[in-house]
Amino acid sequence: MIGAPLHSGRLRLLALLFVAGWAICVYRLTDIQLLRSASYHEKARRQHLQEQVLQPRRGEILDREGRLLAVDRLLHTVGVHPKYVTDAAAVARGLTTLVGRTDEEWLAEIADHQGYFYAARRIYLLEEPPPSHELPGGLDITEAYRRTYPQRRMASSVLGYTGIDGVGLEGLELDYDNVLSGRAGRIVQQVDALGASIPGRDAAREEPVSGMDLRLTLDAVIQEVLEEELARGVESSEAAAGIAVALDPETGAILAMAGWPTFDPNAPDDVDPSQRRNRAITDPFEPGSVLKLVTFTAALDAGRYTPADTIDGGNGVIQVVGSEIRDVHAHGRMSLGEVLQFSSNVGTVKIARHVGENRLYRYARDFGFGQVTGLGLPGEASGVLRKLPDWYGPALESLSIGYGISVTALQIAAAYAAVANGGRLLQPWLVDAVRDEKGRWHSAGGTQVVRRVMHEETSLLLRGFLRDAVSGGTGKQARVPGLQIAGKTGTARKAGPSGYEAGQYISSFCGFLPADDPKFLLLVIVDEPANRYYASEVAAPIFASTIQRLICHPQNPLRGFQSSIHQVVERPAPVVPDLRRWPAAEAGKALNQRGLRMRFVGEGHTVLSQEPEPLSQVEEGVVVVLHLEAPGITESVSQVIVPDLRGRSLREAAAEASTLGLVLSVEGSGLVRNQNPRAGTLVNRGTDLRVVAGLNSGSGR
Amino acid sequence: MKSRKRKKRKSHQSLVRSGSHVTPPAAQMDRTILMLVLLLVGLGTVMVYSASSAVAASQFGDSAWYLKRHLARVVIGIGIMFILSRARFARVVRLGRPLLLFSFVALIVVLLPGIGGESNGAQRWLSLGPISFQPSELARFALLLWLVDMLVARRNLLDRFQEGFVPIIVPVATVVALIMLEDFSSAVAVALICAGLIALAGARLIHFGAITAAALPLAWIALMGSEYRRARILAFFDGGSDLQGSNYQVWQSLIALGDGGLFGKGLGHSAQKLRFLPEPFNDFIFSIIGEELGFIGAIVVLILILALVLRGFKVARAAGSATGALLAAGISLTIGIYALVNIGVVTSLLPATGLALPFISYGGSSLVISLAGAGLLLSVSRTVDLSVDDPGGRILP
Repeated sequence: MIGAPLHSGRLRLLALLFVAGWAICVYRLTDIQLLRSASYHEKARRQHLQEQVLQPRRGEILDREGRLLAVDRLLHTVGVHPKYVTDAAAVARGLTTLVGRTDEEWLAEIADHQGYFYAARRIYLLEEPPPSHELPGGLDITEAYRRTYPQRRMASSVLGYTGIDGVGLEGLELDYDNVLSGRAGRIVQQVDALGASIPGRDAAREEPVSGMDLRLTLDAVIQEVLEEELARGVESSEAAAGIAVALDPETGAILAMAGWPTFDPNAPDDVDPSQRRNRAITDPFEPGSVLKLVTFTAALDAGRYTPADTIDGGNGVIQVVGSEIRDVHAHGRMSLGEVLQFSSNVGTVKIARHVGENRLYRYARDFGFGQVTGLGLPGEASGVLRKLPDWYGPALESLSIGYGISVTALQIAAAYAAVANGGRLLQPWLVDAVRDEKGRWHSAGGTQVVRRVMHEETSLLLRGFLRDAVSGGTGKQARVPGLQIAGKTGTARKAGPSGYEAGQYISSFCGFLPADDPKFLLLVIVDEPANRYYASEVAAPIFASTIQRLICHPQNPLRGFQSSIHQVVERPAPVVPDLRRWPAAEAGKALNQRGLRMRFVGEGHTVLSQEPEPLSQVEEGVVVVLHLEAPGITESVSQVIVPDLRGRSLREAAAEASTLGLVLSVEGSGLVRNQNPRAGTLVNRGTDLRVVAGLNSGSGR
Repeated sequence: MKSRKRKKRKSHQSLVRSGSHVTPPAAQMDRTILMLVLLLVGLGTVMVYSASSAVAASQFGDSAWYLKRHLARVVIGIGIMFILSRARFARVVRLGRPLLLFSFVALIVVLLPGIGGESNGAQRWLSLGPISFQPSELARFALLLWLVDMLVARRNLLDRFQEGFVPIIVPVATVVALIMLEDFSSAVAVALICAGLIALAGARLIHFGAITAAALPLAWIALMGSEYRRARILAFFDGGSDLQGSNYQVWQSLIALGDGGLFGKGLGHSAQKLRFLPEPFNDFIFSIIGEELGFIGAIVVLILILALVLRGFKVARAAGSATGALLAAGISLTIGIYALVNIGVVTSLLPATGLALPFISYGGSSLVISLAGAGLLLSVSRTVDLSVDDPGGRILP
C-alpha cells in the first residue's frame, strides 16, 4: 500500500458508493416521474390551471315593435397586480382613463398594495377598454354582464327580474330562463404562483353561447300609458292597488299587463317581495257584476231568453236562501239588455234561476274560470269555481252576480275577449317569437282557441248589450267621444275574515272597442278605493283616459283600427312621467315626446326630483324642472354615494355594493350593524366598504 | 492483460518518484472529461435561460437578464478552465496555502457586520472591486488544494495519529467550522470531501472513528442551533406535512418532477418555474430539467455527471504522481458529492439545503470554481494515458 499514490481499494469503494447513490436517485426519479406521475400531474394541474367561467350574454326581451325591455349590459372589473406592473405610470394612466380619479392617486394605490387588488368592480368604464394584449403589464380587465331594464318600472311584473348571478327569478325571466340564459363558456388559464394568468398560455377556451332574444306581444307604448293612467287612477282614488290588462281580442295576444304598486327590476330588492308579483295572474278575487256576463251568455246562448224578454225588477230586492239580494236603485220591468245595462242584481238573479245551476256552471267553466289560462308565467292562480255538488245555499244566485267565485284579472279579460271576437275563448299569450343566436326569428306563440264558448249570434247580442251599458248605463264614465265602446262595470264588496266588510270594494271595468268590430280590450281593476268606490267612478275613467291618450299618442298603437274611429277626439292633456333616477339625457327625450319642455337645476347626470310631481296632468308646453343630483348612482361616473346598509342583510348589502362598484368587506354575519364609510359619503368606485354584521338587528343603535 | 496494466502503472510511478516536478503537459488532455464538462455547461446554460426567463422578464423586463450574467460566468469559468488545464497542477497546488490563508481572512471578514452582502439569509458575499465572490466557495477550493499538498507532503506519516492525522485534520476542521457559520450544507459537503480525500491518501480508519465520535455532538449543536435549519430538518422527517412552510420548495420540486413524467413538457414549458418553485434556475434547476425534459432528460444529466465523476476517479487512479492522483480524486469527489446532495434534495431524499448542481445551476462563484476544478482535472489527465489503461471501457476504476 505504501508507495501507491492512492488507496485503490478505498477509491473503488468510493466509486461504488457513488454508483449506489446514483442508483438510489434513479430509483427515486422512477418513483416520482414514472410511477406516481399521474398524482403529481393532477396536483400540478390544480395549481397551474385556473378555470374562469365566461358568462354568456343573456337574451334580450323586446316589445312587439322591437323596443328594448330587458338587455344585458357589459360591465367591467378592473384589477391590478402590482408584482407584474413594469410601468406604473402607464398603469395609472390607463386606470384614470378607464375608471376615473387621478394618476397620482392610482400610483399611490399601486405602491400601497402587495397583492392583487380591484381598482373597480362591475362598473361601466369611462372608455372602451383596449384589447387585453395592449394593456400595460399588471393591469387586467374582466367582463361581466349585468341585466338592465332600460324602461325601468315598465312591465316589471311581467318581465320579472334576475338574481345577482343572472338567473331568472320571476316573471318571463324565470319562465323563459333556459331560452334567455344561453350557455356559459370557460377559459382554462395557466396561472403563476401569484395567481396571475400567463399570456398566451390558455389551456382551453370554450366560447359562451349567447341566450336567445324574446319578442313579446306587449306594446311598450300601451304599457307605458296604461301604467301611468292606472297609477294616477289608483292614487286619486286612494286605493290600495290596481291591475290592468290589455288584450287583442281577435288573437288573444296580451298588449299590456300592469299592476300598481310596482317595482324597478333594476333594483328588485328595494321593495317588499309582495310588490313584485304580477297581480293580473296571481291575485284571484270576487269580481262582482263584471261577471254577470256569464249569466247573460248562458241565458241567451242556451235559448232560455231572447232580447225581447223582459224581467221584473221586483222593487230592487229578492229573497235568497237565508238572505236577500238588493239593487242600488229599484227597477221596474226591464228588457234583458236593460238588466245588464243597469247591472240589476235582482234581474240577473231571476234570469239565473230560470237558466238553472247546470247551465250556469257549465258556461262559467267553459269561460275558463277555475282553471289557469295557460299563459305560462310563474305563479298563475286558477281561482275557484266550485263544482256543482259543492253548491249550497244561494250558490246559484251568488255566482250569477259574480260572488262565491274567485277569478283572476286575466281570466276576466279572456272571457270578455270571447264575446268580442265572436264567441271563442282564446288562450292569452305573451311571447311572440324567439330569436336564435344566428339572428333568425322563430315563432313561439300564436292564437290558440281553447273552445267555443257561445254561438256567434250570442256574442253579437252581448256586444250590443255591453255597448248600451257604456252609452247609457253604468259604464258611462268609460265613454270616449267619437268611439264606440262596449263594456261592463263591476263593484264588488270584499270579503274579509268575518264576511263582507263595509267600505272595502273592488271596482272593475272591462271594455272593448270598436264595439262593432272589437280590436282592443282593456280591463281595469282598482282594489280598495278609499274616497269613492263605484266602478263607474273609479275604474271606468281610467279606461277612458287610457284610450284617449293612446289614440292621441304620436305612435298611436291603436292605429290599426283608426278607420273605424269616427271622429278625432280632443288631444288629452299630457302627463308628466316619473323621471326620478333617470339619466338626464333620457329624461329630456321622454319629455320631448310628450310635448313638454324642461329645465335642469343643479349638476349631475341623474334626476333627483322633479316639478311638477310625476303623473300630474299639465298643459302642453309646460316647463318641467328637473333637479339633478351630484354624481350618484349614475352608471358612467366614477364616484358614488355610499348607501345606508344598516339593518340590511349581507346579501342585500353585497348586491347594493356590487351595483355601485364598491368593494364590500364583511365582518361577522347576520344583519349589517355598522358601516364605514358612513352612508351619504361621496367615494370613488372601487372603494372598500366595510360592514360589521351581527345577529342582533342593531335597532338600538 | 492484467499484467500489462500493472506494468504500465509501475512505469508511471517510477516517473513520479524520480522527483521531477510534473510530467510536462505535452500529452493530450482527456477529451471525454472535456466533452462531459462542456455538455453539462451547455445544457446548464439552456436550462438556466429556460428556467429564469419568465422571472427575469417580470423582475427586470429582460428575459435574458439572468442568462447574460450566467454566460459571463461561463466565459470566465471556461477561460480559467483552459488556463488551468495547461498549468502545471503541482504548482497550482502550492497556491493552496496562501489561498487558504486569504479565504480564511475573507471568511472572518464577511462575518463582520456591514461588510458581507447577504443573499437568502445564509450565504455571504464579499466584494473586491468589480469582483464579488462567496468566500466559502473560494475556501472550499483553497482547502482542497492545500489538503492535497499536505497529504502529499505527509503521506508517509499519515498512519500516525499525532504526527500525521491531527496536523491535517485540525486546520480542515477549523475551515469547515468557519464555512459552517455561513453555509451549513456546504460545510457538510466540504467535510465529506476532505474525509474522503484523507481516507484515499491512506489515513487509518480508526482515526476517523475517533474524530467522528468527538465531532458528532458538535455537529448536533450546529444542526439544531439554527431555527430555520431545525425547521427544515424537522420538516423533512415530518414527511411533507408542512407544504407551505419549510417543505414548500421540496414539495414544489416533486410536483415539477412528477408533472414532467417520462418525456417532460418540452423545453420552455415548465409551469413550476412561474414562481411556484423559488430559485428555479439555481439550486432547484434539476427539478425544472425533470419537468421540461422528463425522466429521460433527468437520467441523461445523472449519467453525464456520474460518467464525469468516474472518469475523474479513473484519472486519479492512473495518475503518475501522488499530487495528481489526490487532486483528481478530490475534484471528482467534489463534483460527485455536490451533485448527489443537490439531487438528493430535489428528490426529497435529503433535507432541503442550498447546494448548487455543479456546472448546471445558475452560478456565481460556484460555477467558476467548478470549472477551475475541471481545469485542474484536465491538467492531471494530461499526465495519464487512459486509452491504454481502459481498452474495454470499464466504468469503475
